[in-house]
Amino acid sequence: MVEHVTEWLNAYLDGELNGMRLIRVQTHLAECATCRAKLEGLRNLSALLRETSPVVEFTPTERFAAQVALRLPHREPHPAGREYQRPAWWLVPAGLFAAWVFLQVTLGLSALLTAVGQTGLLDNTTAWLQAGQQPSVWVMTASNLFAGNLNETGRQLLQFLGEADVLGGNLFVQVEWQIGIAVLYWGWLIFWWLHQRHGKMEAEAVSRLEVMS
Amino acid sequence: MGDVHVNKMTVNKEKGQRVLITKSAEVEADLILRAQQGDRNAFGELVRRHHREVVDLVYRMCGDVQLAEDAAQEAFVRAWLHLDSYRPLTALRNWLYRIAVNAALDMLRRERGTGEDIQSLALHDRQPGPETLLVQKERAALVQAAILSLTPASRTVLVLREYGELSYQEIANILEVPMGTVMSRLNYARNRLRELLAEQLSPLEVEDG
Repeated sequence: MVEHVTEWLNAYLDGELNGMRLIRVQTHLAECATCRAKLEGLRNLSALLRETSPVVEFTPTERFAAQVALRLPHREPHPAGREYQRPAWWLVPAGLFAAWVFLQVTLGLSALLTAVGQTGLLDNTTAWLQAGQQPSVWVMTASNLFAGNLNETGRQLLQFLGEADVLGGNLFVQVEWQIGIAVLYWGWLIFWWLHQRHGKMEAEAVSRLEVMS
Repeated sequence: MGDVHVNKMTVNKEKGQRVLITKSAEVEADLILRAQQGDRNAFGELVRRHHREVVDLVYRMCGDVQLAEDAAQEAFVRAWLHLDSYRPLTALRNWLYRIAVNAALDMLRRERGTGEDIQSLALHDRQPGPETLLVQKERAALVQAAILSLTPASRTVLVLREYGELSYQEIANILEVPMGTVMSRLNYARNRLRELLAEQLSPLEVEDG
């Protein structure tokens, strides 16, 4: 029993078939008179629909354009500022990614130096990088730089940061940094998604606006 | 020798057409840009360029000149208001069709229940005149009435395909339905039209063979 291709004839007629489906329909049409006749019927219908132009008089184009022009409301020009804001959409994730890469490289290097240092290969040349009892390098540098200008609160804050070892090799702090970046990144993704959704809903609202009577 | 000359002429003609099409697309892109910046004259030119195809398409959907022109006007006003959201990835014509189709569907929803049936519409358009013209007019009226007897969903797909000459994908995008739905609605619409017109017109027109 021959399986007809009736359901695909419309798509074939409209040039919407390709690949194996197209070859199958073409092969079938070559040997099936019934389907060829159906295709011819569809072709005739299409020709009939297109040859019959509306037997009505439309408003001439110039007058129609004038009528539309009269109805055009004032429109605020597209704010140029929005264009400049666009790069911010990718600068935020790019910045976060750069921060994450920086953190990974720093932590990796730090771990490497510690490992090498422990083997004694570098003698004590890297000892100053190791976190220990003494304050971190950056805390000492900051203390020296601002020694004269720092008030009591500033000094306490610096001491606290040094003790907390914010930029040090403490595993717990490292994890905190990673989580912080991840939270910011996901926060940005959600914000972006909400923004896109809002834009899409606006566009849909545009196309579904009620017709003014 | 003559053949070569003819071939050259054909090639030149094709090149000329291509240049014209490119030029036209450039002009349109420039008009859109100017209209987006608030130039009403540029938008007016866009209206003149697309007026007829938009009105024609909407008329095929609703079968009423006044309704078609109102919906087309409404579509152009909406297009003006939201020109900022237009992206050149879609042809302006398709974007206008999208807005016009939605405007027309809104109107049809409001008008539902007041539509005339296929017979009365055909008779309504019958006017005195030369016999050939009368036949043409009758045929056009019958075709239009048959299209109008379809459900709005399948009618819209048929009109966008036959008169808007859009691809299935473009229709799916405009109506926000899957491609499979476009295909099934089109199958239904054409089968139904063949039945309706087979009853009304000469059997040769839509005979299966």
